Amino acid sequence: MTLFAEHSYSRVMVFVDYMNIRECIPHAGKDPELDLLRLTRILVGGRDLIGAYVFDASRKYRTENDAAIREQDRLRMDGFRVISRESMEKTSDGRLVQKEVDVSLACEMLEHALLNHFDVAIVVSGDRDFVPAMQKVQAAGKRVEVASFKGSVNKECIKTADVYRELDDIPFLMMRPAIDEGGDNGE
Amino acid sequence: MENDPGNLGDYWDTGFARLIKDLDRYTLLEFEVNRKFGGKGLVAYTDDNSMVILRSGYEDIVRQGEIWMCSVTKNDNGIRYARPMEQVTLSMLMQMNENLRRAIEDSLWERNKSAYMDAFRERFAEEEYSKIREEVEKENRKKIGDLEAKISELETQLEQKKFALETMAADSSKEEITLTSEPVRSPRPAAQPWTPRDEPLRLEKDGFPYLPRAFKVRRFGPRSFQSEYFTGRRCYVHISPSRRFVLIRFHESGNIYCFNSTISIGGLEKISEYVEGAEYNAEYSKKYEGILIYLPSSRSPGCAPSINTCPDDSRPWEI
Repeated sequence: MTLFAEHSYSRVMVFVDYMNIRECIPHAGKDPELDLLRLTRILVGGRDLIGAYVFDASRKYRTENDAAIREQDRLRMDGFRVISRESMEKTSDGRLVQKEVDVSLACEMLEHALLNHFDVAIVVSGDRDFVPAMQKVQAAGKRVEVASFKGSVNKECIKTADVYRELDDIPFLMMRPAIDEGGDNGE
Repeated sequence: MENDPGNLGDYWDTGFARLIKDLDRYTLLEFEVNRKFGGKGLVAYTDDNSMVILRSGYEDIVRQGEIWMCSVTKNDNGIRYARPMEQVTLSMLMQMNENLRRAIEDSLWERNKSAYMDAFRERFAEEEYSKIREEVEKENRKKIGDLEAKISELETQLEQKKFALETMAADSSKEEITLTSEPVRSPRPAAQPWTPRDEPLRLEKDGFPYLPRAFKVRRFGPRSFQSEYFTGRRCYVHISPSRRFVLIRFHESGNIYCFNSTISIGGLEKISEYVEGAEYNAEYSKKYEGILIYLPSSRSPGCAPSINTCPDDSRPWEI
């Protein structure tokens, strides 16, 4: 039950924290594949999509052959505006962490809000770091929706958002065709 | 005529008519004070600006500003003299019969046409332009008024329709996916085993196959689903992160093919345990624009309850 109803004439912008989403999706081998295009269409619904941003990080000196770069290019071909910060760093214990991405998302969202480019912002992330930016966007008269996974979303995000959508039950992971190894014959 | 010095009385009835006939010999002159000679005597000017002096003897008859029809003669010195024949007044013109009046009007018009033409043309054009402009503006105002009323009416209808759509959207939107427990139509009686349909599926008027509100999809193999309602050639298959829902959307550019009402999906056996003969609840989802298949929870990996074990035949399955 939500206080707000969708309006078909609302202008929507989508802001995706790519790493946050990728980390939450369980994988069974290489399937299923994250279909961000499908997810965006479901979240936007019948409203007007003004722009969809994907925020990601990469390591410096990556070439076009790098899988991450190829993935970002594929997203760009789908129409997403990919903002990739070359800010991926390795910690002392070997973990990769991304820097600057959260602030980059917050700045982009706030800038568009103040320039009145949208009526509704959809933040695809459960990170609590976005709460102040969301509040400022709401103070600018805009509506903020948060879409995230039940197990990874922070409660402050849910409380701050005007609308919260759980991604767990939304079918947006794309399946591939079965490799022909004789097929299923019902046996 | 009482002021006739030269026996012009007989001209009144027939003489004037003769004058009209012989109009080229006579000139219409308007007399004014002779400024050149200190205001003594009356003179007139012809069309070519030549001065004509009133012949002596007629000073008491002709007054300044009067128009007379005159006979003009020139002496040896080139000085012209006018002998007034008949005064032209408005009442006189009105008293003449129609023919005579027209003859005089025609004569006056012919003589002065070039002078009057431009002035009349300009005046006529101005009056006609004003009249036409006023009529056109009146007509335009009326049309604009009608159009504005029409626009206002359409805007009202649009607002009403928007409100109705928003109301419908608000009513039908849901936070979670739930399958309805009551099918609108049941394709077959609950107790019958699954068999392919013999008759062709009915088509909706937009060409899409008819789908009941809720139906069953069979697990044909570890990686396959089968249903009589899989009628497209290609489709996209999406699954939810929770592994509870599978969405099949038939689309001409889909990456998965459908043969003999069967769809084979890579990795399906890893997502959902295969149980031979299992049937899953499914329905057409307007929100996701495809067939939504409900997979059993991973906590209870057994197959979904089949129709035969359902406690209530009118509600084959419940979520």
